[in-house]
Amino acid sequence: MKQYIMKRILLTIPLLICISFVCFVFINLIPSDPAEVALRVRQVPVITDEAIAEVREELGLDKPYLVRYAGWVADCLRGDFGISYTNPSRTVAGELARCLPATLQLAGTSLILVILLSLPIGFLCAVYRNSWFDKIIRMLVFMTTAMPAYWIGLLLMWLVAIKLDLLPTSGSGTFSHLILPAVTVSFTYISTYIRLIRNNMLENMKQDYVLYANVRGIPQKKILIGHILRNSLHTCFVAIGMSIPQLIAGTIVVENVFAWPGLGTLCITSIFNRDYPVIQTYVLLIGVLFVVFNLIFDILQTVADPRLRKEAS
Amino acid sequence: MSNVILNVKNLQVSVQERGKSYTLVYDSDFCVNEGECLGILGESGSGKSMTVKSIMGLLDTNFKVTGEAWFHGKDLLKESKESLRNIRGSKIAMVLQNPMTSFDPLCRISSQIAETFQAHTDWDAEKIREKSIELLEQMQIREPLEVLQKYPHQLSGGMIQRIMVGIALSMEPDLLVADEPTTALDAITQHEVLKAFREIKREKKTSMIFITHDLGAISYVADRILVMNQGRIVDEGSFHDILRHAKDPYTRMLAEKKCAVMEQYRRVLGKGRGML
Amino acid sequence: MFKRFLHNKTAVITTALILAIAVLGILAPWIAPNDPYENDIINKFAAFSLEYPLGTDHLGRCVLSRMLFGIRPTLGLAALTMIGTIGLGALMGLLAGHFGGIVDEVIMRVVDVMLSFPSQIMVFAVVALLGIDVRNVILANVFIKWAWYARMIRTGVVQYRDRNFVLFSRCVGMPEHFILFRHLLPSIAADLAVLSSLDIGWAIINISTLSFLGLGVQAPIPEWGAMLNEAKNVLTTNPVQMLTPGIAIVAVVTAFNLLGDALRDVLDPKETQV
Repeated sequence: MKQYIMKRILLTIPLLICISFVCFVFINLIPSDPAEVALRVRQVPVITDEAIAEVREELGLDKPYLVRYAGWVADCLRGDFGISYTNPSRTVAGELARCLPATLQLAGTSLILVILLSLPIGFLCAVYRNSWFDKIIRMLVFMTTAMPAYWIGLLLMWLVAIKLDLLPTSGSGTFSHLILPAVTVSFTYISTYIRLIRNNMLENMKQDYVLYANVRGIPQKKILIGHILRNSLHTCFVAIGMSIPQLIAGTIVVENVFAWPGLGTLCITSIFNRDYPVIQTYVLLIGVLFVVFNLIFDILQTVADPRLRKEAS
Repeated sequence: MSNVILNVKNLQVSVQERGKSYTLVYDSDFCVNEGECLGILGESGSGKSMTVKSIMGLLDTNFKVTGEAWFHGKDLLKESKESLRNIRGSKIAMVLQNPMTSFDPLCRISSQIAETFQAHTDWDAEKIREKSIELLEQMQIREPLEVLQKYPHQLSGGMIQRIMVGIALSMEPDLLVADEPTTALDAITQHEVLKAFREIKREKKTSMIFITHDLGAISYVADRILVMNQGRIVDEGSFHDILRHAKDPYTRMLAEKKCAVMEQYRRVLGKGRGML
Repeated sequence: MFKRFLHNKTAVITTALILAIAVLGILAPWIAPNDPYENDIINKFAAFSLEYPLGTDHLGRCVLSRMLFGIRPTLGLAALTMIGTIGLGALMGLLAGHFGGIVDEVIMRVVDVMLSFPSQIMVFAVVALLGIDVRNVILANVFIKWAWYARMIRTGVVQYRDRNFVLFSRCVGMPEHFILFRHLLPSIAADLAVLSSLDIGWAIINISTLSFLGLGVQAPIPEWGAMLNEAKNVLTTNPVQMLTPGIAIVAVVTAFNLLGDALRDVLDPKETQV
């Protein structure tokens, strides 16, 4: 078992290298010269060719590509992601750290909403399949897959915040500010997971072990909860876990609709301002999160499932 | 010996699919006598599993079942779901075709045996444990304590099949239904399982319905045989009758094929010492 | 196959709807009641009327005309994205599947890395890198999506590569590119049709999202996502303005999704979708 986990962790290293390399190449592809940018950042009034050459040497830009890459990775590992282009007094790490809590709060609330709503609804849809409840939910699920998240956000904002005047339209700070963005973010994911849980449970219901449990006269409730739901949760738990980074990335649009001061807003502002180091670090962060969450839930799945546990050891 | 345990009349099963109705079992009558083993023979898709599943109320809601099935003075087809559930597993027990997939892969064997006991008795944990071990010992499974702690995938198909038979017998049912219990097993395990069934018949005198498409297996355990083809019962009688004097052309073909195979088998072996 | 298509009501209706919308988009200059760019501040937020069937927006522009002209970038860009995606994906997939060996290995490793990246973030990264422009939005979408198609097409090609009709072709001495385009591509066209009709809905949403954020189609051009961006600013004063483009997007995307499901049924009648 330990061996398997070690192997899985080691296998993610090439992937992490790939991601970091793409991010590194990314910043080197931008049209402007980093040395020139650095000079502008330092607010040097006149940018001469000599000054550029000087800075090039100072920043190590004249060194070979791979050496620079190694240096950059080392910096990143130390938590030094460089300086914001637009606001030289701030480090990228500081900017991200400032915006991260808001995004985590939003994503976390959404995740809780997703789990609390999609599990019971998906369960009920599977148990009472083809009932009116199931049909209505399935229609809603189909509709929401065709709705852009930002439009859902606008609709909610208009209906709840303006028409009914129940919650603030945008901004952050109190719990009431959090509700609308969180609901919007969770909307698309809820419909995805309702479908996943419903179909997974229906798939499980067709299995032999359910027939056999019925053969033995086990009460229906016990079969549903003790066996079918349990087996489905295994799959869904992993799927939801692996989509947590997606949830964090998915806040990017909704944050902008509701002016939520998180990573998404920072990212879009940075795109408009061509603040490349911030974008680069954001992409790197999400990429690493993806790999890490995949790793964690893959291992958890192996630990939880007796069949996989056997293969692994 | 001629007490009728199960008496099925005019059983008809149809399925509703996409607004159309297909009949799977037509107008079947048969009965099972006390202490008798009734074999149901037929190709896959001939409706033999469907017949017993419909009697036990194991079919989905889109299946329509009509007719009567009398068991202990009750018409099973008109009983409530809860009362059927009580009968299943205690009065009528069943053994399924695919032992490896018939147990929940996430649960230990012990918990799956225990939940069967919990469903039908009010035994406490201690008694359940005792009974579980007794069950495994009866099925001649070595180291029952260890086996109880295992997950289904850690056991062999034959072993799981025997546990399944053990669970079925543990509630001392009046009727044991075996739905192709040997199909998924290899030849040697098959023989073991068949032997177990014959012993049950001899020792416990449990009435049985034995479903299979294997003439050899059915000849080994069944007293009387029904032949089903495309949803209809086409022939009925002892194994000898079926083999020699089949009324139905389909049965005749089946028997002839089997005889031809056996002939070949005997020739190869040099002497007639097969299972027949 | 075509007959089965005609028998499937959903497929026929959705195709008709999509074609109708496309035709409306093409004919926009002739059937639109007003100039989509013409400001008329006095008449802003006008209600539904004969002159402005769907009212006017915050600058007094005719919403219906803008909607009609908006079909062009919305559907057009999505179609362009899909053509690019399928083109690149098909090329890579065919190369990998057909030649195998080192070509296959390299392409599939790249595909793996592409698929392990979160797609939404990649779009933003590519747009950020290339600059805010419609062309870059399409490039970004193609860039993140081609890997899915490459993998699917490769699987298809590998499946069909050793079928008899392909082997026969090769025996007869047909040139490789002939086999590739005459035999292998049509064999996987069915799967491709299903996947791409589902994905075009995704592309419409994605492009409109970028336009909404101001990273795609820019302001005065009537694109549904960009129109919603404008509507957002006047949400309190004129909430009706965000309904029309939103409903239009949902309708078109739903139509494509339904078409995809229906195509799947048509092409594979055994598989009934729950």
